[in-house]
Amino acid sequence: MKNLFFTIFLSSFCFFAQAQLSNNFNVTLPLNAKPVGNNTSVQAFESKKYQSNTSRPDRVRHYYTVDNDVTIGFWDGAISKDLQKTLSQRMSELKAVSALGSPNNPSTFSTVKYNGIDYIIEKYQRNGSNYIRFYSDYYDEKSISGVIEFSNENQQKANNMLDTFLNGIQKK
Amino acid sequence: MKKTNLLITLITTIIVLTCTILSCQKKDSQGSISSEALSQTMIQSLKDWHALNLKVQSVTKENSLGDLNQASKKLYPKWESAKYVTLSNGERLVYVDAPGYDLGTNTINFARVFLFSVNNDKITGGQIIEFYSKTNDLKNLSGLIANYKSPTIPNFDGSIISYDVNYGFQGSKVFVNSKLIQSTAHIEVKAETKPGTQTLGNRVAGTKILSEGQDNPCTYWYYNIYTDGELTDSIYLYSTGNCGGGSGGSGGAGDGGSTSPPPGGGNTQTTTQLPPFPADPCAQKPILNTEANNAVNSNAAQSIRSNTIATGKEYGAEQNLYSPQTDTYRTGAVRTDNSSNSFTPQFSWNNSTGFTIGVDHGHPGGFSPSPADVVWGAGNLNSSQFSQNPQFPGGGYADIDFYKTHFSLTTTTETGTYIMTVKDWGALSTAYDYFQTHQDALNLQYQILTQDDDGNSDYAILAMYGNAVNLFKAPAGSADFQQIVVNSTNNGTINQPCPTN
Repeated sequence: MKNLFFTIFLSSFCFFAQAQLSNNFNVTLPLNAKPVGNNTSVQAFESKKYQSNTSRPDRVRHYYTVDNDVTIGFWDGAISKDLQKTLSQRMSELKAVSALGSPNNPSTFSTVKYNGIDYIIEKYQRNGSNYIRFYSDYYDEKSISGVIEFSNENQQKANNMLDTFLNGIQKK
Repeated sequence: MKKTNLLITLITTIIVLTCTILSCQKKDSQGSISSEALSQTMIQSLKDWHALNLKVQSVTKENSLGDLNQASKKLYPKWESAKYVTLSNGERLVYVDAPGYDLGTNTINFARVFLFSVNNDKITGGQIIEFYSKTNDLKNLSGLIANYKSPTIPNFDGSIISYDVNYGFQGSKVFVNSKLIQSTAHIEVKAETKPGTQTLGNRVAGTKILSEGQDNPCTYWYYNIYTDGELTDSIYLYSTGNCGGGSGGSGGAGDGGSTSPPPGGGNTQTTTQLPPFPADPCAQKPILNTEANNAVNSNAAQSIRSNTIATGKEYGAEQNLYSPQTDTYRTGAVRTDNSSNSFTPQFSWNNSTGFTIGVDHGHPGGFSPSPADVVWGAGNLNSSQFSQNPQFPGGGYADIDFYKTHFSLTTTTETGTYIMTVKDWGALSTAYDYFQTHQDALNLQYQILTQDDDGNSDYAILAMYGNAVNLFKAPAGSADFQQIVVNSTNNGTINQPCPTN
């Protein structure tokens, strides 16, 4: 019994390790998160996994594999106030371009709030994989966004990871 | 003693500053026409390039206006005069004399030349450059040519207008007190109504050499300056066609062909023609503002916006002119395809339904112009209607030139209005061709890039088509358009600042 308590305590302590991976937010990494190499391998990884993100060389993007079956990536965003759109407007744009770009399998959307930070959640399938993207609102022209990629059998694990990860993000 | 030292220091400073300024001015006026003769091989290369890039073959005799398949006369370089010129910015070009033209006015002087870009003995481009000056007699062009890209040209008050070798308008620069200012110059025409006929005339970007016969309508030509979209200077130049009581000359190279200004005209005659878009996006902004505030366009835009938001469907209408000779819009009916992500505009180029120079449509989702929107304007270049317009002598190319210099695409959203103009029709035509077979892939790319920029589709469309188009946006209810560009340092989007006067 004592050992069990100790194990639970240790697990809860280690499940999320604090990391300085964002200039704007405090971020907590999932347990067993293994970083995807250097910048070059990150680009190859995201290009293969997501067909995307290589267009923003300014963004330091962090990708991790968790238990070798789910991947998670995130990055800081910034935009000047004169070009900012509200969270609702951005979700509307994302919905519309999803209907245009993926008419047979458009994304589903929702909004959530963790630690005073509003997010758009976008879920979609592409090339046989499942994705959950999150986009935070802008706070002093700063934002944080990211993506989780997973197979069908890890649906629940990915949802739990999203919940825990967003719950671990706090404004600096 | 201290006062003396202060005085000496002050005088020294003034002398140094004066020398610096004079030195800068002198640097501006540097550049030279070389006496180095071009090799026969190079001259042949220039001739070959020029022949290859002329859109139609020249004709040696005048054709009747009724022959719609007639070709226009073209301006030919005087190849024997070809020489190298080094501009004040160090750029080396080939300069070739062009046939002159008597404007028939003493108010402004005129000269024109050909300039060709050369890189490693290969011709990479060619232009017709026209100089209009109130202060310089233009008899010695060396200094002007060497400085024609400079913001300061000593002893030059006037304009420099650039055309491609087919006399397609490219851009203009206006100088006041030898300094470049934020205005644009255009050579424009005004037509006289002939009894028993409709108003005819021609809006041509430049002193195009028309092959006209005696039956042609009387046309009056003007040198017009626009500042912030308003006509701020207008000088009558000459007339062509049958104006009665005058020579009504053909206006050909070296011909006089000038008559008196039209009745009630004079040097302050105004025009109601729509100004073409200059190449500089900053100079386009006042025109966008004026066109958005046009009552016909504005009413249509309000209807498109309110219907799109209320129904979640795309509403739209074409922006048509009654004729290329007026700025009077006869915008098409506001309508919908009952689709949330498409609207089908109808291009027309005739007196019956109007002359389409743009389209306005709503995006209920609020995103920027889609790939299909962006390439639509290039598809219209294939329209057979361009060769059937009796209002342009020669039809075809003149119509297409007009269309290209006036086309814009408007996208109305809840948050604001996007206007897209074209910066490179060649690139847009290539994009159009590619779109025909890759529409699904391009729409997916548009989606992915919008996701990459956290729900900002402005970035997506500029990343895909920024080489071919300019993108502007004004907040909802405003016509204060700002150009959106991709920030070269971080690939995000920013509002591009423009110089203030």
